[in-house]
Amino acid sequence: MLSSQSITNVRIIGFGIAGVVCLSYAIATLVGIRISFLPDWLPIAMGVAVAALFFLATLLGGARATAASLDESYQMDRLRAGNLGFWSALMTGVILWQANLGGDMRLAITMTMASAVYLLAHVVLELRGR
Amino acid sequence: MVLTNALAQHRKAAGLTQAQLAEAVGVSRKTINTVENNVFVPSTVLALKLACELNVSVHDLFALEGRAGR
Repeated sequence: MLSSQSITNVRIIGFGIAGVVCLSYAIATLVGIRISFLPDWLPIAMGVAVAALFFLATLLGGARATAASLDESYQMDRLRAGNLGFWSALMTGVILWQANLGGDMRLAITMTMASAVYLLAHVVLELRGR
Repeated sequence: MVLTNALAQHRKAAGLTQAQLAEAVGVSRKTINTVENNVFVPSTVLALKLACELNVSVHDLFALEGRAGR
């Protein structure tokens, strides 16, 4: 059985890795670098893998530990991270609108940047209160 | 007005760790820690659960400092 703390640790590690991958993808796309070990499907695959990992952790932890790991301070962190993700998507979109990039590039950068900000802000907020 | 709390004192008086109190009221240890450090203001339900677990009144745990008329 996993404790609520262990489930939180799984979430922090998973969100951290997925956030770094999304940020790397956004930056690499923005500067036009093609990184061989960073294929296009990696951000989505990381998101799915993290979701599966978190689902497995909650199964191993049980209902009580899962509820404790998703308690009201977590909900507050989630809302704050969501706000940061929303505003970063908006700001990135506005900034990239000025750049001479294709629509698909702009969309890819904006979405992966927003995901990265959401995931990494979540990690920072969760670690801050420990 | 500033919300102050005496959760840490009452928890220690009850001989509980943050993890034990968190387990008893069904939240994470981080939530207890952030409440004790005035980073997070708990819901009414959680405040009542904490008071019940520590056998004190909610008013013993939380107070408003600088409240008008006091």
